[in-house]
Amino acid sequence: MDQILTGLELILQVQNIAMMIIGLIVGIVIGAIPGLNVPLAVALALPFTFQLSPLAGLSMLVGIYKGGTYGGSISAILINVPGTPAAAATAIDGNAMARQGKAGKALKLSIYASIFGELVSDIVLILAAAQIARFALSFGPPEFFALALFSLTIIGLVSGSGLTRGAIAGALGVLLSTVGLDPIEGEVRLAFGIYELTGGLKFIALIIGAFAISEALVQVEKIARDRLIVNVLEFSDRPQDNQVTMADLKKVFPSILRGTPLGIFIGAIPGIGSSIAAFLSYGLAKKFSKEPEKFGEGSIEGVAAAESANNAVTGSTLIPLLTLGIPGDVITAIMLGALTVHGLIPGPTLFQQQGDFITAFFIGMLIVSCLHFVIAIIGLPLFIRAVRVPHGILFPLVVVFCVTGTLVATSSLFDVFVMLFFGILGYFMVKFGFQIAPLLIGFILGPLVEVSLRQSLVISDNSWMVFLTRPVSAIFILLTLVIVVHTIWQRYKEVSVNEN
Amino acid sequence: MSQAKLDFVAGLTLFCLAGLLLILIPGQVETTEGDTLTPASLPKIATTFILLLAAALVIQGYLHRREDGETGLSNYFSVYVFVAIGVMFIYVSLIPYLGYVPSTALALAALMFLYGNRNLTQIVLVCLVAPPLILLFFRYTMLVLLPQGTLMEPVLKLFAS
Amino acid sequence: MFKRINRGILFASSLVLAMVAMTGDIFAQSYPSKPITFVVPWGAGGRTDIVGRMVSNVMGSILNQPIAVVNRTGGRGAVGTKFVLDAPKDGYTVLVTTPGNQILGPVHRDVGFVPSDFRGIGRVAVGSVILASNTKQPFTDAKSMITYAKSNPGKVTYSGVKNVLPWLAAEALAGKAGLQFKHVPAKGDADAVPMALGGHVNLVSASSLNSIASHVSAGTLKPLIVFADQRIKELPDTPTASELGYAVTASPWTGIAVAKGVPEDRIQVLRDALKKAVETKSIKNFAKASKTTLSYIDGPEFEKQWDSEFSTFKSVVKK
Repeated sequence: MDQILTGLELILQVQNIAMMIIGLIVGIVIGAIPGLNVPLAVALALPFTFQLSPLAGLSMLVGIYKGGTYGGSISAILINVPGTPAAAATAIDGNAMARQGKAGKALKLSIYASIFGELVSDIVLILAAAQIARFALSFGPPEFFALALFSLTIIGLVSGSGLTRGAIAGALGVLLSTVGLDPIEGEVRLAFGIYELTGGLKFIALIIGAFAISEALVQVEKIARDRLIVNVLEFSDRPQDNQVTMADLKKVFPSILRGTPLGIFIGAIPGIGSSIAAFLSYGLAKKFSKEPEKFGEGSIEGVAAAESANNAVTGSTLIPLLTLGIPGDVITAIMLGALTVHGLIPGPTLFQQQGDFITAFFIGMLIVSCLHFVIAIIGLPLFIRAVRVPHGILFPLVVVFCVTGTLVATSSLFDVFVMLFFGILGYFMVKFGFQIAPLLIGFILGPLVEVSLRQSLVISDNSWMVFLTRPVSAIFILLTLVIVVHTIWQRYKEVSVNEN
Repeated sequence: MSQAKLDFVAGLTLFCLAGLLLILIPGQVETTEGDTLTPASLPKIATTFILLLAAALVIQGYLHRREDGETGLSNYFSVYVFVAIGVMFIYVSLIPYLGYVPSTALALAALMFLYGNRNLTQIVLVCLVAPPLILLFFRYTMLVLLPQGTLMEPVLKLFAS
Repeated sequence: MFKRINRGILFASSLVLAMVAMTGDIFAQSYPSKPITFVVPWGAGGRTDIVGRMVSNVMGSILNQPIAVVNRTGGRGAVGTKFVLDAPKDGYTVLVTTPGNQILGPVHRDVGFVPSDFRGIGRVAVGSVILASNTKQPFTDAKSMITYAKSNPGKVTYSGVKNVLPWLAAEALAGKAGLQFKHVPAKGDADAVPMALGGHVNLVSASSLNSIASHVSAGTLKPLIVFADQRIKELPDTPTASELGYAVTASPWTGIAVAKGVPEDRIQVLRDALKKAVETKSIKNFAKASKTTLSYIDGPEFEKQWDSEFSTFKSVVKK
C-alpha cells in the first residue's frame, strides 16, 4: 500500500501527465497520417527524452506507442490506408464499414476494443510480469519456429476463397524478406549487384508502399474512370450507423475476449509483433463467427478482434523489456535506449532496486490508457472532419507524406524508391485480385521462421524430431496441421458444391 | 477480363518470373557449404512455392476458360495510373537536385491535377504552404534535415550575397 | 474571400523567405557553418546510437552548430558506413563507428571499403565481450567450464551473432584451448541472451556488459570469462581470458570517424571538439548512468587500432 502511495506521488506530477498527453496526441496524429508511423515517432522523440526525467520520458514514449497503435486504425478505417502495420487487419473490415457509411461506428468500436485490450494488457503486466517472463523464457528456438509456422496459417484464414492467391502473396512476402544479408551467416542474398540491396528491403518501405501508395494509385484510377472527383466518405444519417449499440457490443464481445489474451500472449513473446497478433485474432474471429461470410464485407467482429489484439500487445510487450531487458521490436528497443541513458538497466534487478519507479510507471500505464480513451473520444470529430478534405488535396498529401516519412525514417533515397516499388507491386496485386495482407504476414514471419529453424537444427544436431519432442512446439505443430487440413478440406467442399 | 482469364495471366506471369528467379538464385546467394540449410534454402523454397502455386493458377484459369463470370474487379486500366507512377518517380529523383521543398511543391501540383483538382488557388496555396511547413516541422521539432538540392546552391548564393 | 487568399499567399511567401534565410548561412567561410549530420549505421536505441547521440549533443554545443543524428541501417552497418564514404567530403557527414561495421564488414566480404578509407576523429568508449552461462550448468566457473568442455567435445553450445566480435572471441578461445563449442547463431544479444536464460544453450557470448548486467546481479546468469586486457570493475571476480592462459581480447569500441579526403583543418576542428567533449561533465554523467566505459584515444591512435585489428581479424577468420 505504501508503495502504491509513493508511486502515485511520483507519477502524479504535472510534467509526467503533460508528457503523457503530448505523447498520446503526437502518437495518434502521427499514427493516423499515412507514411509517418510509430517507430519513426518514437525514434524522433528519443533524444527529447534525454532532457526529461526518466518517468516523464518513458511516459511520453508509452503515450506515443499506445496512441500510435490506435491512431493507425483511424486512417485504415477512413481511407483504407493503415497508418501502422498493426492496423493492416483493421483496414479490411473497417474500411468496408466506412464505405457503407458506418465510419462512425467503426471508429468508435475501434476505440472501445483498443482501450479494453490495452487496459487488460496493462493489468496483466502489473500483476503477472514475473510469471509471464518465466513462461516467455521457456520459448526456445523450436517453440519459436512452431509458433511462427502456426502464425503463417492465418494467411489461409485471411485470404478466404482466394487461397491460392493468398499463398502466393505470402510466399512472395517471405521471398522479399530474404533480400539482403541473411540473418545467420551474414551472406549476401539476391542483391543483384546493387549495393543498397545488401541492406535488405526495409519493412517500413513495404508497409508504406504496399498499403498507402497502392491505395493512392487505385484512387487515381477511380477518378480517371468516373471522370469526377469521388469526394470523401458518405456518412450515414441513421444514428445506429454512427453509434456502437448494446446489440453490437454483445456481438463483438467474444471476439474481444479472444483477441485480448491473444494479443497479450504475442506481446509477451519477443519478436512477433502487433500486426501478427491482429491478423491471428481476426482469423480466429472469422473461424468462430456465426457469420464468417460477412468478414471482408464490413464485419464489426473483424474490426473488434483486430483492434483489441493489436492494442493488447502494447502492455505485455513491456514484460520482456522490463523483466528481462529484452526488446521485442523496434519500439521497445528504443525504449531500452531511453532507459539506459537514465541509468535504469532493465532486468530482474530493476524491480528490486527501482521498485518505486516501476510502481509509478505501472500506475502511469493505467493513467495513459484512461487518458487515451478521453483523447480518442474528443479527437474523433476532428479526424472525421480531416477526411472531409477533398480527395484532390488529401491523396497528393498522402503521397508526399509517404515519401517524406520513408525519407526521414531511413534517411535514404534508395529506400524511398523501394517504397515506390512496393506501391506499384501492391497496385498490381490489387488489380489481379491478390490481397496485400498475406504479403505483409509473409514478410514479417519469413525471417522468424528461418532463424528459429536453423537455430533449432543446430541445437538438435539436425534432428527434425526436436519439434515434436518438446510439448509446446508439438502443440503448435499439431494446431498448424489441423488448420491446414481443415482449410483445404473446406475449400475442397466448396469447390465440389459449386461444381454439382 | 473474366476470373479465368485473370487467373491465367497472373499465373503465367508469376510462373515465368519464379522460374527465372530459380535459375538466378544460385548465382545471387553466396552459399556456405555444410549445414542442412544454407542461406539459399529459404529463397529457393519460397520461389518453388510460388512456381507451383502459379502453375495451379494457370491450370485453374485454363479449366474454367469457357466461363465468363465477372470478377468484380474493374477491367479498367487507366493511363493516368502510369502517369502518377511517373510523377512519383520523377519527384523522388528530383529531390537531391532541386531540394525537398521545390520538388515537393512541383509533385504536389502535378498530383493534385491528376487527382482531378482544377481549383488553381487551392493548388497554388497547398504547393506553397505544405512543403515549407513540413520541412520546418522536421527541422525545428526533431532536428531532421531534409535534403537541400545541389542545383539550388547557386540560386541560394544569389540570395545570400 | 479575396482577402483570405491574399493572407494565405503572404504567409506562404514569408515561409519561403524564411527558408532562404535559413539556408543562406551555408556560404559563410568558417567550419562548421551549418548543421552537421552524424550517421549511425545501427538501429535507434542501441549502444552505438546512444553513445552517438550523447556525443553529438555535447559536440554540437561546443561547435555551436546543431548535430542531427540519422540511423542508416542495413547490411550489418555496411550501408551507413558506405554512405558516409560516398557523401561530399566537406566534413558535414560524420560516422559513428564500431568494429562491426568498419572492421569486420571488410574482413568478411567485399563491402566496398576498407578501414583505412576513413580518418579517425577519436575513440569514445569501449565495452567488453563476456562469456556467461546460466546457473544450472555442470560447471560453476571458467576453469571447470573448460574442463567440462574438453571432456565433452561438441556438447557445449553457445549463442551469439555470427561473424562479429562475440563469435570471434568464443571461437578464438575454443581454438586456443582446444575446445569444440557448438555455435547457435543469433540475430543479436536480444536473441542470444534469452536462449541462455531459458537453458536452451549452455553459454552466451554477449557483446556488452549491459545486456547481461541485470541478470548477473539477480544471479540468473554467471559471467565466466571477460575478453579484455584486464578485469572490469563491474565484474571484479571474473577472470580475463589471458589470466586463464588464452590471450583473447575483444573490445567493441565506439568512436567517431570521417571519410578520407575531408580537409585536414576540418578534421582538426572535429578532433578538438571531441577531445573537449569527452572531458565534459555531461558526458561523464551519461557514461556513469548508462554504465558506458569511456576510453578516449585521439584520431591517429584510433587509426592505428583499426589497422592492427583489421589484420588480426583477417588472420583469425582465414583460419
